[in-house]
Amino acid sequence: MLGRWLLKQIQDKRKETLQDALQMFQQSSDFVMHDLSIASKGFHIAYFQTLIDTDRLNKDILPFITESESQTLEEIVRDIPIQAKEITKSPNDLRKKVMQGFIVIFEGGNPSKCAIVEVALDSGREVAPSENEFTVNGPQESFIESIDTNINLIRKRLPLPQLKIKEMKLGKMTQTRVSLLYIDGIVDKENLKTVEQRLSDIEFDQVIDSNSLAQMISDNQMSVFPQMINTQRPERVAAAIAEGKVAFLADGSPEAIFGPTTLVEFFSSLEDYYMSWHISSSVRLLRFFAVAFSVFATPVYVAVLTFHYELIPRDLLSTIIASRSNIPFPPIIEAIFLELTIELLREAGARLPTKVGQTIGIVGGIVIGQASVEAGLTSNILLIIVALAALASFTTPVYQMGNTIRLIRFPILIAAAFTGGVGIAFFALVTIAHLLQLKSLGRPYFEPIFPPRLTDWKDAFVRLPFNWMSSRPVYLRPRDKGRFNFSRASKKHDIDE
Amino acid sequence: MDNPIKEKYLVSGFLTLFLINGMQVGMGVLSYQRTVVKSAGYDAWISVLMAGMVVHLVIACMYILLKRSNGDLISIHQQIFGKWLGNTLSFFACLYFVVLGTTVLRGYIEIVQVWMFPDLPTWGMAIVAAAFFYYVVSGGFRTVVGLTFLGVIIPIVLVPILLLPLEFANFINMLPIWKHSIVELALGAKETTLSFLGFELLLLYYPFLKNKELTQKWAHFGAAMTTISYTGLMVVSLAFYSEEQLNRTIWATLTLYKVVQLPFLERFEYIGISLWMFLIVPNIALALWAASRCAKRIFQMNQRIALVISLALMVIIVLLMPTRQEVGLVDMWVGEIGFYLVFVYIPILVVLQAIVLKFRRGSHEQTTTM
Amino acid sequence: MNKRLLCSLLVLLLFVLSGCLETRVVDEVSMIRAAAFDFDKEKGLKFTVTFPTFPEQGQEQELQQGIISATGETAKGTRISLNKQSQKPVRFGQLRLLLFSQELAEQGVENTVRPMYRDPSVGNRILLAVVEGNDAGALLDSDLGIGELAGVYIPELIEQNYDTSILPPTNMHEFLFSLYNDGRDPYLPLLEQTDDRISVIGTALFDGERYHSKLDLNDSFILKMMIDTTRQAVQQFEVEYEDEQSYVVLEKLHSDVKRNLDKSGDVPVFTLDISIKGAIEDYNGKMNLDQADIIKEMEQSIEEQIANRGQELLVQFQEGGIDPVGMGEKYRSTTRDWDPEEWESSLYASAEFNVHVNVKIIQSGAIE
Repeated sequence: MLGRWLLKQIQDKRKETLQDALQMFQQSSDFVMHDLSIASKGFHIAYFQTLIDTDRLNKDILPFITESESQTLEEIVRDIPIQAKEITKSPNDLRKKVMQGFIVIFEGGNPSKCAIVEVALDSGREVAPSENEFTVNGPQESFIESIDTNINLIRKRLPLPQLKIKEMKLGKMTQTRVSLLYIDGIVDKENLKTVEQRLSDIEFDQVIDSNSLAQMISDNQMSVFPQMINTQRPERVAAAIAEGKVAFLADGSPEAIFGPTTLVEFFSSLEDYYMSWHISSSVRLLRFFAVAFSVFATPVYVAVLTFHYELIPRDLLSTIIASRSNIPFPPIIEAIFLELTIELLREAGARLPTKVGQTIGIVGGIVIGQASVEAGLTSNILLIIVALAALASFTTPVYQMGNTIRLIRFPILIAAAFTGGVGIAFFALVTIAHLLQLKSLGRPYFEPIFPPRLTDWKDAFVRLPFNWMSSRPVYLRPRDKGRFNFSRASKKHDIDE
Repeated sequence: MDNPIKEKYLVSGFLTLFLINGMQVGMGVLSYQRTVVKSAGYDAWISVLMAGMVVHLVIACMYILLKRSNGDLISIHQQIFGKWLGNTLSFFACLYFVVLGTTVLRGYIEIVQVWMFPDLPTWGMAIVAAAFFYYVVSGGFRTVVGLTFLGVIIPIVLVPILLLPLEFANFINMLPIWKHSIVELALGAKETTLSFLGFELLLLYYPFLKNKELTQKWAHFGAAMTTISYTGLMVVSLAFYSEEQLNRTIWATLTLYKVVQLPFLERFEYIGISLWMFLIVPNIALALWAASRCAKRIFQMNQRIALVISLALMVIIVLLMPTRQEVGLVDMWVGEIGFYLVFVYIPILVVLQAIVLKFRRGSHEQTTTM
Repeated sequence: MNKRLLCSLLVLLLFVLSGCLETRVVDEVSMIRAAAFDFDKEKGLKFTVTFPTFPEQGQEQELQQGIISATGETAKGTRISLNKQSQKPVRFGQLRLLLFSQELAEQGVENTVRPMYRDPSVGNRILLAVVEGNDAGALLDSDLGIGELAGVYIPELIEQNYDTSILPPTNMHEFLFSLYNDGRDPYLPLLEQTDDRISVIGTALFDGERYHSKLDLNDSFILKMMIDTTRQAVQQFEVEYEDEQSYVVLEKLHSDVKRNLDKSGDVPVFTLDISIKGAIEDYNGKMNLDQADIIKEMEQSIEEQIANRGQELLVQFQEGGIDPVGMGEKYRSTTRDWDPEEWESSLYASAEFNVHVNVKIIQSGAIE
């Protein structure tokens, strides 16, 4: 329906004159048109008040027009000290440009041509520290909603002529500018082609944010796992495309998306590269442990208490039974109650205006949990496990992956409640089978675990020293494989020489 | 006739190691001790080693077959027996693969029923398993290999735990070494066959390997890994149990796990059984993949349809075995068929192939010289 | 689309099929911690079990003990009839201790242990013990003071005695290992109840599955040293020096045993070499322990005692036709034509035993 309507509009445009276009604008009340008297000729100026910078109009443009001795439109245009200006006869062009913040100058009642001059209002915010991907060390700047600023931020980090940018307009209604970024000579042509093809195939009418684009072009939209990484940090994008990945930005969206990526990459934070490799490797391992804990802790508790009481060591048995003796529900109800409480608090915290809200949410969780223990609704051992599991799930550096991990807990929890350890193992297997089939831009998502590629392990579960990272990740199939000459870098000098 | 497999569906050659090992280690490991000890007594570990050696010989035979025909089982059969007879034989192999996977599934269901959930319905588990295997196998060979790879890597955590029962080890049991006659040992070796079976699937996935001529060493490594782990486990079991006690213990490996006591958990066998799923899933998935691939090659049919038929067959066979007696009977039969198929039929094939090739070359030369 | 349908179907099936699985939630079953088998004159077996219970409201940290018993012809049958008396289903997964009355043990315990071994939910590390008399069940019901439950107290008591090497350690696995072994006989700790006090009084020796005789604590220690290595034991020895009786307590007692077999003669000759290391903890005599020769003499005196008693015990075992030390095993390991019948009937009875002991006292405490 919408498409047909748009098509009709476009067809109408072909026949219409400049006058029609202007009349259509006039239906909006923020469109202003008034007369200018230049050299006693009847010129008119028109613009969207809400789209242009009135300051600049009054200071930089109007004086030149009114004071000039110009007789024709061409002369006026020549005198205006602004680069983005032209004379057009096409109503189509006029329509587009005016919507982008150009002013129109024309002569007479029914002009055959008009001058358009760019006086767009730039009302974006300043580059500010990243809030969602905070790191203690490292650069603090983050993307903003303007795509030009964002590209500028990346270009400053990669001053290379090989850094290519391909722009396209997506969304029939929104006409969002989407820019594809890659480094020629490193990027794999196939990866680039995949992204380009999939982006240009998008027929969705509105592109609101780069994240929704990422979902539209992901390999398997049925999967709960995000298949491309989103980030607000320019240095992360710069690092990614320097490795041979493809990134894209959308105008109006403060996040860049890059791919292809792997599951393990979602658990690496850029800060891993700012700290010494010992620390960052330990922290990464901690994160993987946190994921495993967060996914399996509550299900294991439920499975053991529901079915496998034999597993409990003697000394722990009394504690566990004592903590559960007053609780009227089976363990699964207890667990779901607590897990849902934590999820509610988290969601409420995310909707609260400040980060303080989140902190309060967690504290509130513990208070509610304590109260429910005292009321005899849940056992305190479970409260500890659920709180720790929630805490562990927050260590994932990429927010979307954190959400996924919290979500996949629930089916596992339910499987544990119904078939105990067998259910947990079965669900783990289903997840693994799914991950094995998943692809990110056609590249295996589960790499370097499967297919097993030892060379990529250097930056997967641990982060080895930089002098070991002589080659770029294999799964990206970079055309230029090496970062530096490893044999020269690793040459050892003899003692005292 | 045989279209080469597309590059992007091939897997690295060294994964042969995991394919061989992952397919061999499955349900057999949980209970093979008892049957071997019945004939070979405390020398059972020698029997296991012997069986392992024979496996290496058969792997060498299979590589001879495969290299000569540069195809898979179906093309070997066609090469030797011609199209009709060859395809009929391949069809029997196809059925064998389905049954092989089925016994593994039924065995696992039985263990879960005996040790964990006596009231778990067999049909329910079978249907859930069928749905799961449809998902896995329809992901293609790479997914199956991935599961096999992880099915070897993840259960490695279970290996060091098997050393903990050595707290009660009594190595004097095994002395003096080689008390039994060679015949008894050979009989014991034959009894281990069921737990060594599975490597014959190489005959089907061989075309899917990269640099396939160079994979033989990996296949031998894989088989050696199996032999070493089986022998090691046998030694641990023999030191742990007395002979009569072992005879009374059906799942000796699981009972080994029973004595494991860690500060935060006891009775490791429950975790062992759950994690065992990681070992048996590749077994079944690979067998089903092989069966459906086989059917696809014989009847030129869609592999998905072949897979669905295999799965249906699997569920039906599982449902036809409600009690332990039937499971035991089918296990025995599969072991027997597998034994003759792998250790007798494959060497015969090598000889037949050599004769056929010689004959053809001879007739070819004759026609050219004449 | 197909895959998604399939996945949801899968999850759904998991629900359907498992909705009917029987749960064993920890606080909704009676978890047996200790059980006792007695001989019952009418039916054959009396089975007593104890499990922790929790008051539904109030003092939630306080555990109490429930106890029920049933009689029957078979072990399995009595287990089933236990459920009739229990508020919650009876489960054996947390069983830690299995007691037999001496009277039952005299008639054989295999029929009661085997079902336990066959039941996958019962661990094989559980402790077994024999109780003097014919009321092992009463031991589980004894009042041990506040907070002490028989189901926890007795296993800890036995384990503590194992750890300090007063008794040769054994559990269900080792008991069955010896029972189903043609070159070894099992043994179990022996308990006694006197006025609400439970104590370990020695080792019960078995001939196959039947109770044979008992050893007191001192002999148990010697048996332990003949079977296995000892770590961190404490033991009191009597020493005689210049016609003066005194007692010395050795701690950090480490012992090692080597069994040798000489088959060259007509009869098999077993030689046990026991080496013991220890430190003097307490001594009530008047000698100066700084003198090397006094220590030497003390060592010799201990060596003699252990060797003599050890030899006596071995002969006693031989005469009783039991083999807790595992001499048969040793003989089997050196012979290719092992015949358990021949060993039982003639070889063992004719065997000769030597015990050599070597004691080394390392230090004599912090004070003189």
